[in-house]
Amino acid sequence: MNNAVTSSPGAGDQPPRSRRGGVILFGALALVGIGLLAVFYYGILNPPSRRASEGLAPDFQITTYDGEAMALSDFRGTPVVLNFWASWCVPCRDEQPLLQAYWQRYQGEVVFLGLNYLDQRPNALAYLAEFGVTYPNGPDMGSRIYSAYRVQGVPETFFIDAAGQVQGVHVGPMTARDLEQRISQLLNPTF
Amino acid sequence: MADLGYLSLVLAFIVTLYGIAISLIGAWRRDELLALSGRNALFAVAALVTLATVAMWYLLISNDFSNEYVASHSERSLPLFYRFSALWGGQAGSLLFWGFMMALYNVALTAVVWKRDLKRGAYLVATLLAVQLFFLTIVLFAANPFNRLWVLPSGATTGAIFRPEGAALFIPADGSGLNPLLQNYWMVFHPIFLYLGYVGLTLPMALAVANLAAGKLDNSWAREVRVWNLIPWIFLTIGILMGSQWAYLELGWGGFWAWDPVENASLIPWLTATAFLHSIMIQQQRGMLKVWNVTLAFLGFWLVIIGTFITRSGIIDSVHSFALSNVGPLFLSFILLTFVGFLALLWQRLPQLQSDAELDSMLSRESAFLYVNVLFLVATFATLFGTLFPIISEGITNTKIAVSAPYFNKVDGPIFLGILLLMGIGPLLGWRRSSPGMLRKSLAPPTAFALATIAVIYLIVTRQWLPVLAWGVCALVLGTIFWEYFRGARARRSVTGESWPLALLRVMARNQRRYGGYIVHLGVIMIALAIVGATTFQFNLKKSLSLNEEATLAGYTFTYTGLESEKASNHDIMIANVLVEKNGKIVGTLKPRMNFYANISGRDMGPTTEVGLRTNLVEDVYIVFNGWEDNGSLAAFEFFVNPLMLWMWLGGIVMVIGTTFAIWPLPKPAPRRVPAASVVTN
Amino acid sequence: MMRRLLLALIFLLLLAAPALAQEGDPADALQKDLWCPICQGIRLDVCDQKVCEQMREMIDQELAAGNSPEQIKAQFIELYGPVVLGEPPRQGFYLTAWILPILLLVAGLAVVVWLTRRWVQKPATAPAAIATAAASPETAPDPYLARVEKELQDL
Repeated sequence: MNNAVTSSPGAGDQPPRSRRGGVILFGALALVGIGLLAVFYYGILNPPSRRASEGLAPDFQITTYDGEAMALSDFRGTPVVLNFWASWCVPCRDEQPLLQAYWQRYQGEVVFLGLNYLDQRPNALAYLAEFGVTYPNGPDMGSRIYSAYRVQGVPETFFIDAAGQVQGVHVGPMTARDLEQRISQLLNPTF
Repeated sequence: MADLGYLSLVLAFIVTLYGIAISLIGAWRRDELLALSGRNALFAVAALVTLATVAMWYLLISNDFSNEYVASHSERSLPLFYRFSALWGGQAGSLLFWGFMMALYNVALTAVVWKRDLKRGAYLVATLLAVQLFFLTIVLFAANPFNRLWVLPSGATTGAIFRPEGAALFIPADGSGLNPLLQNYWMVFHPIFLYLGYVGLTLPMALAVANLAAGKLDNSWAREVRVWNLIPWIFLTIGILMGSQWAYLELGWGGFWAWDPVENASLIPWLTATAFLHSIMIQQQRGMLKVWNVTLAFLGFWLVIIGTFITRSGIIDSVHSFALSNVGPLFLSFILLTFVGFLALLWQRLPQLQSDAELDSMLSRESAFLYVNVLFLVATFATLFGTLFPIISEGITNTKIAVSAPYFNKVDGPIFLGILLLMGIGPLLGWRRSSPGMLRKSLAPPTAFALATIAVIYLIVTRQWLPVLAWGVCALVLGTIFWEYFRGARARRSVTGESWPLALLRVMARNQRRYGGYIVHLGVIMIALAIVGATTFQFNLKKSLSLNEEATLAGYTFTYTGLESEKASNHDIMIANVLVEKNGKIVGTLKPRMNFYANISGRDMGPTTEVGLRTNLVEDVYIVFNGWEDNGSLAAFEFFVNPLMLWMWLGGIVMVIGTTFAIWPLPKPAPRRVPAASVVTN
Repeated sequence: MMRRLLLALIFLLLLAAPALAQEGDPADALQKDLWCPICQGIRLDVCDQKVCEQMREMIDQELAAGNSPEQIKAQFIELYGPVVLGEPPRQGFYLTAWILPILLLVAGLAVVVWLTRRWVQKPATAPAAIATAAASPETAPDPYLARVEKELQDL
């Protein structure tokens, strides 16, 4: 505390301890302000729209609807098409037949993985049966994977290369051209 | 017109820079001519910004689609009224509008408080212009409403002031229209009031900063700032209430407050401004809390900028926030700069800001004000923290946690109840000191009233603890207010022998601030009554009805009697007719509707709903029309019965009346009766 | 008199307490306690998203299967995540959202007590002069109000 500056008239006859309240308040204000600024700075760097669209894909474990436990890292060495969907999601229905068809075409070369978001087992199973989906699908329990990938809505599809790096994200339903292009990029990284 | 607008903004920018520099030099050299020049610069900036705003309105009203903002926020078929209000329907336009309001406020404040204190006046002009400069910077460099549309060689269109390389001017045949949710008359007026509140909170801050900078550290600012805080405060209050009215009528979910980040952003500075208007009274009366008051004045302004940053930078998802944009970093820099600047100034003046007075007892009106200040500040913090918690939790735990109504209700609810309680007790405490005995004595009538109310509510209305408790506290405040009026009138009557009404009116007129404040408290109580009623006793029912089928809810019978369609200039309307009966008696036909707008900014926004509403002092019947099948043989509805909602809007009106009464310049009778010893010398 | 009134109030509140436990339709109560996971601040019972429709169906089925509302809520949290609560879960770091406001409240109240105590302890300097020094014309003591004020002070 700086007691030296008591120049203003009328202040001199006050006991210096009465300044303590001001200093405490000042400190509290500075502390809260710095905290806020840190949060805002982080927020600016990581807006919700910034998806996990590059870098190492966050690893996760799921148990598929067939009861099989698997992790993303199990597929290292093979490109992965990671699709987030839900049975209540209308646009997901548009791309589901495509995903199944492309999985059949690229079986062995590319892994397809479906993550079921905010959904219930019976509804999910009915949806999978309706489209005859045969690639692995599992629930994203507690929406944790969704959160880690910073997904904003379903459908959203992540394209992960053989080295486990995210090569790109497609927001919304895909057309055959989108899917074709993305997969060929995954298979020919130099392309 | 676009050129004129842009040019006046550029000029305003330059004149602002000049005004800041010349005012600071003037204050430093104590040169009256320079200071006056700075003040004139402020007036010139206001004229230029007004010109730019008028130019923007001209572009909007004349459907000049060569302008990017007009093309993306208006359309030919948009009614004139909404073309006018489209100015604040988007990011760039609303920031220009903000600058416009700021300019008007600046002129008003400077013209009134300039007077002879040259140094203070110069610092005031510099502070106001610094804030104006920030908005001009954003409008000119990050979100320019005067951008023209260009078509690039690649075929893409872009907005820019100057011709991009190889681009040609592009004029679309029609604009893409205003967001349909904004095409509602509440949404036309709500932003005006909200901005008047937001922008106006710059004034207390500017007065505080100017006084600190000029070393004018006496208590005179407490008297001066009061009205410049009350005016924005009441505008903000109206703005918030109108926003809830809009949410209530337009969003069709039966509620009025969703604790959405945008709503919170308006509530947060309101809380600190309310704390400030109470704590400034302590300084005015007793010369205490000097540091605290300048801090609150700054916080109100700072939280406005922070709220705007949160809702416009795209750092948080919100239903009605503006689209992601590049204004975020600019706002953040401004937040940082103002913070550091204020702290530096405060630190420098801290030794000179000391309390003049002390208390005689820990139980006094001063301490009640202090406690209510703490409650307001905790509510501010909790609301801000909850709003930011998705970001904070993601940064620390990698999981974004959603925070909505339950959190805010649980945290802010008890705090607000505590504030209400203090509202009932505080006015019964004397300045300087009070004793438990006296408090008990003066609290007895309001408490008796509260207990009687609780008993009646408990026995007749409900046995739920929340409304019993909350309404009981409301009754306590009500009792206190009436007790205070009664005591004032009685005291005057016992001396003058005037009749009751005359004594009451005279005592009110002589103590406008005190009794105006109680009227505002009455309005708050009415709003609290409505909030508790509507949240605890709401009835709702989702049901699809076929033609002439009935649904019943809370004593009402609803019969679906068919569909009608109408055409408005820019949308189609589908109306469902619902016959409402209560206990066999026909109440009337309500007409909830769905509006279908085509072609909104290239994306399908879906239809908007407009509820069918019948309101009275007891309850609102509120019907949402959600869709239909088979040409209207089946229609989907959601029915609500919302008790006491009308009190909320009436409470808002009472708050406005009370504030107006408190600040209305009534002629003051000469203080003849005041003993000479206590006549004011300033 | 006051004490008796207070006792009466406490008694009434105790009477009211059982009302806490009384609940209407459990499905409705649960719907009002959960939140749409993809909207913002929309309660499950008034939401017309399809996710919410499915959630409402699940509530009905699980209740019919004899599960308690608490179990169903836990199931939703496990499956959908804490987003359905609309509030931070009360565990780990998320507790800060609940504890910080309380800490701040306690600290704020403590500061006020400390401040007022200090102000009271300081020797009073010519009270009359101070009382009016800061008063403005607007708040110049109205003799009638002064009477009211006087009533409020302990004499």
